[in-house]
Amino acid sequence: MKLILRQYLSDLRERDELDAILPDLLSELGFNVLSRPGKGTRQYGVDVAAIGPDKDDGNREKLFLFTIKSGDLQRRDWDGSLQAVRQSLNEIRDSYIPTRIPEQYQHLDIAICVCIGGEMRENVQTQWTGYVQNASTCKVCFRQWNGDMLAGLLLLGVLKGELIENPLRGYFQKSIAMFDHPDVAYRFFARLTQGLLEGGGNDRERLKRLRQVYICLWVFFVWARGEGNLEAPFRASEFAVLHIWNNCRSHFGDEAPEQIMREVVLINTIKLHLIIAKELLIEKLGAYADRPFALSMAVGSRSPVDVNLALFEQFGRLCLYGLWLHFSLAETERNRVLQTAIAIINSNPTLKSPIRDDFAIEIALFMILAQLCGAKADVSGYLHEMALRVRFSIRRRGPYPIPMTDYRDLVEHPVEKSDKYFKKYTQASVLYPLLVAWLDKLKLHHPRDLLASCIKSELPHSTQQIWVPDENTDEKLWTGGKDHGMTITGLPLCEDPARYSAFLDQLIKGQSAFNDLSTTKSGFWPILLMACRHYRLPVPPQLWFVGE
Amino acid sequence: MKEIPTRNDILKSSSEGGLLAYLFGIGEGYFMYGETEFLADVAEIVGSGERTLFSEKDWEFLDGMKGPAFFSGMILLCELIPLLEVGHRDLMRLVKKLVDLGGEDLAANEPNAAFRKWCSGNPERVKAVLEEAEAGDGLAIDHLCFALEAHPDSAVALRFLTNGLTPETQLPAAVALGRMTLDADSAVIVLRSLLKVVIGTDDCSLKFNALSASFAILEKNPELRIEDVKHGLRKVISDTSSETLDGLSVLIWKHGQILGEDEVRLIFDALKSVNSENVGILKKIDHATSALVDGGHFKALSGLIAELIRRSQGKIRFDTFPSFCRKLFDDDSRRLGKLLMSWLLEGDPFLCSSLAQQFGKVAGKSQALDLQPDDLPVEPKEQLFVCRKAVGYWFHSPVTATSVLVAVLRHGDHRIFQDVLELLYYPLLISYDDDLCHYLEEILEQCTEQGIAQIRELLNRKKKYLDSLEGIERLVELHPSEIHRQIEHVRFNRKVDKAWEKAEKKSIFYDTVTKQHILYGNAVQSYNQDMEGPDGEPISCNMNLVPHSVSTEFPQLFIFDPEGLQIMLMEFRLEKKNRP
Repeated sequence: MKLILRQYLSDLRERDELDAILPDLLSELGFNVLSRPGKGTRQYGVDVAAIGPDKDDGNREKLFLFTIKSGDLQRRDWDGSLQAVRQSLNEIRDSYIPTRIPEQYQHLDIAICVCIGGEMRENVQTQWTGYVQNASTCKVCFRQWNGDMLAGLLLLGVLKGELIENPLRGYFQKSIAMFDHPDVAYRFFARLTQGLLEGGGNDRERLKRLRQVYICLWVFFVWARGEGNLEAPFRASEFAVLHIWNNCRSHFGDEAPEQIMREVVLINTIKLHLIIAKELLIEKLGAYADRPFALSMAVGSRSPVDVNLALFEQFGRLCLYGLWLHFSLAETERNRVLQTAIAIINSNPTLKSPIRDDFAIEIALFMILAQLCGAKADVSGYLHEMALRVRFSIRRRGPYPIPMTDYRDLVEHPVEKSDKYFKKYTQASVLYPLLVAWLDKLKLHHPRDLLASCIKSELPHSTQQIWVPDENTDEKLWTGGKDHGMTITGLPLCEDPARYSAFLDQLIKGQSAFNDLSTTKSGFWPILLMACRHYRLPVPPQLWFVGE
Repeated sequence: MKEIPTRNDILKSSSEGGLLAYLFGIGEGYFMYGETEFLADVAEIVGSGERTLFSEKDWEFLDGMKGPAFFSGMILLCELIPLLEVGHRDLMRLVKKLVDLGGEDLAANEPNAAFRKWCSGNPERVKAVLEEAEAGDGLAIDHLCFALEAHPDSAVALRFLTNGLTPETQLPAAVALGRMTLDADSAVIVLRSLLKVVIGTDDCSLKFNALSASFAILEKNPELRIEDVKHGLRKVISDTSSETLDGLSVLIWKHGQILGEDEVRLIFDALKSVNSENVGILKKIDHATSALVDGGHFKALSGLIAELIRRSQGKIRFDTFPSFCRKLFDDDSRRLGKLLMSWLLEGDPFLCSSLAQQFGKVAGKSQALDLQPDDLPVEPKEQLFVCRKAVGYWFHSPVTATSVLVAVLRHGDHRIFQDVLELLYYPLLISYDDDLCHYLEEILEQCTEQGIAQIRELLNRKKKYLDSLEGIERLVELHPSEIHRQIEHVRFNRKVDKAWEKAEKKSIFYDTVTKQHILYGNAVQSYNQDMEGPDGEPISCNMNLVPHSVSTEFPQLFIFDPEGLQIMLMEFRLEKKNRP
């Protein structure tokens, strides 16, 4: 276990990673964290300031000033640049200590601590020892926390208790060991998360468990990133966000310190999710977004179904990432994500032919994002072509969308062109109500009419439907519960556009359960979209035109 | 050679089951006995009355025979029949039984030939058959043709033709006359009589057999005037009943070589109304391929077949005409290219689809067409039109489709080159690698035209594109899960198994060879326990095993965007020539 943590710590990157995890670690070790890393440059060499016991000095309480360095500390990192450790130590001594320490802590002795994810190399050790000897005073001492020590602290602190005990420790280790089998790794991580969060206990216990999930996710992510496969940590991060939300939602916004800390963990987990999403969707996949068929080819399968499934999965994730950026007010990045999504569609036309009916979720996410970016017109061609393609597939009994999600059904679809098969595999749909609504919204009359008449003539047996949350949804949705929500049928989608539009307006107004959802009340609507995507529930119509 | 059964052996072996059962039991094996001596003994036994071939028991035995065993025994009987000294009625009954049991097999007429040979051995036998036929005996009428052929006398045959009481009696006479070799004077008389029957009779079968006999006589007597026969032909095709169409198909099959352009045009105009249910007529049209091609009527035949496909809306397809397709695809590449271009330009969806299926059947590499400047349409719009049709219909035979585009780039109008190049890149080059790139490299080496030089840029563009994909192997997050891969693998294997079974059923060797499944090693030594070597040991056969396989390139777009590709190909296929 310690080896895993050491490897994890040495792979952490400085910005947003090692400095993000350190404050939580310190909190769990009983430190009082005074300042956390902000964006931009460090404050006169200090990344984190905290008050806590100095184990090397009989547990005397001291003010710890941490300067953080990811990976190993090598000769080139020691001196000679603005970011060098020696430079930071000098800044702390020359500027931070005289000017930045709050008055109430000025009586405390100071421990300047170099925190290294990896280890201090041999060739720096002499300089370090010399520096410590020269700069130490009776009030200021120097400490070195390397990866090995941090790993030990993690085991003692954040990960103590349940995680150390079986079977949760086993789940964690298995999820890490099986990172290249994302389905399996995700399952183990989900069990770990559920195991941690199911336990009772007081507020402090609960908080500790939330932090454990967060730290485990970090470890999992960094480990998998080192091995070049982010699939499992991405899924795990969504699962973690949704479960942590479930843990926070009932008292969201309360001023109680434990609740505030829980919300800090939630925000940190969301941030971690966004780090993973960015790394996977923007840096990895995004690099190939505009290269024709590159992502389709990367699926590495001879089955068009595999290509369709893989592309829609990543497409939905990307759109949701864009929506999170909108939520975070990062408009420029959000717009870039939309452009990436458009580039992916143009380079991978399989995205114009959904094989699964529930890809309505991904299409909804894309349209919401486009709408929020004010780029509806830019994406109208996508819906136009999708409508024509779906109609073409239905009419020739080709690979039309089906509501089944079992891979065995999909990979053989369509097995035959008989009416019996067609009726069985098109018995219900959430895709067409969404498509028609959006075609109406975009005033794409021609494809709308073609699709509507096709639905009328070819799919009279099919139950066109819309899913809406009900009063049980908030209890069940975030942890993947299925027995909640309500389906609306009898939609007039093949009739006059104005009538269908009025029907939808009426439907949205008439469903109050949506307004009672914790995500609606708190304003954390992307979590609802994340839950819909993660647990494969249609996006409720209240969010379809959220940017209008 | 095995020991020949003696007379006593034959008698002994046939004592219980009868002689016919004994002979069928021997089947083709009798060749091992030295046929003459053995057959003479059998004929003598039958002649002596010690055994018979014509009892009720024998008929019952014959009714139970089928398949290869029947035909083996039938061949032996056909060798035996001319040697028999038996009554003509018994023999006619046996011959008729054998012919009926032979069904549609080409060998089914062998007993008739044996009967003809039997008749030729003794004029009295002929006389007996003729007399009974003249008296209206059905069995004798069935064998009248062979009796007339056995002792060819045109006067006697003419008597049956002109004085025959029924068409059933006239018909064998007409057939026999067509088969006779006649001197010039007799030929004129016979021809005149035959045409009289053609014009006068209402019986379709008689009419066509008389007409066919007329052509046969013309074939052997080229000095005779064809005009009279043409007149008869015109008369015949005035109705388009399926009997008439069938007769016409037989006519072109038997006499296609001597038909003139006018006659072929007349007949083909009538045959255009054949529909897909007339399988027999379509088969005969196909059988006529060789005769018609030899007679210089390939173009007309192609026109007829194309029209049949168009009219039937694809129910009739090129594979209904295997002989024609062999001639079309294998014989003359220039002719093939010309014809295909004309069909592409016409753009009939049924015709072009059927052609595409034909190309799709050629396993392995697809074939490049040999197209010359005069094969191409003149208008640039039409040149681009045929390019799109070629891609639309022959996408699965990329080299064939590309050869049309290459021809346009070589000999076509430069104003459309860019469009053609784009078409070549997408969907063809983006979908295919090996064979297509190899073909284009060859073209670049061989041709120097301006349009061709731009293909180099396309190949560079493709290379650059492939280079830009470097690193996609690291996008493991897109990979299907292991379980999905396994499910897909099982599904694919099941599909391959089904295709394999289907292919096995189509194999001509499937039922004729013994199959062995070898589990280990790369050589096999197989013992045949039924065959002994000189030392009495079973004969063994040694074989070294080598791998053999067929590979085909699966187009990438079929994986990456199957529906988009289908829509694009459909648009190309359905595009009208005069689209604004």
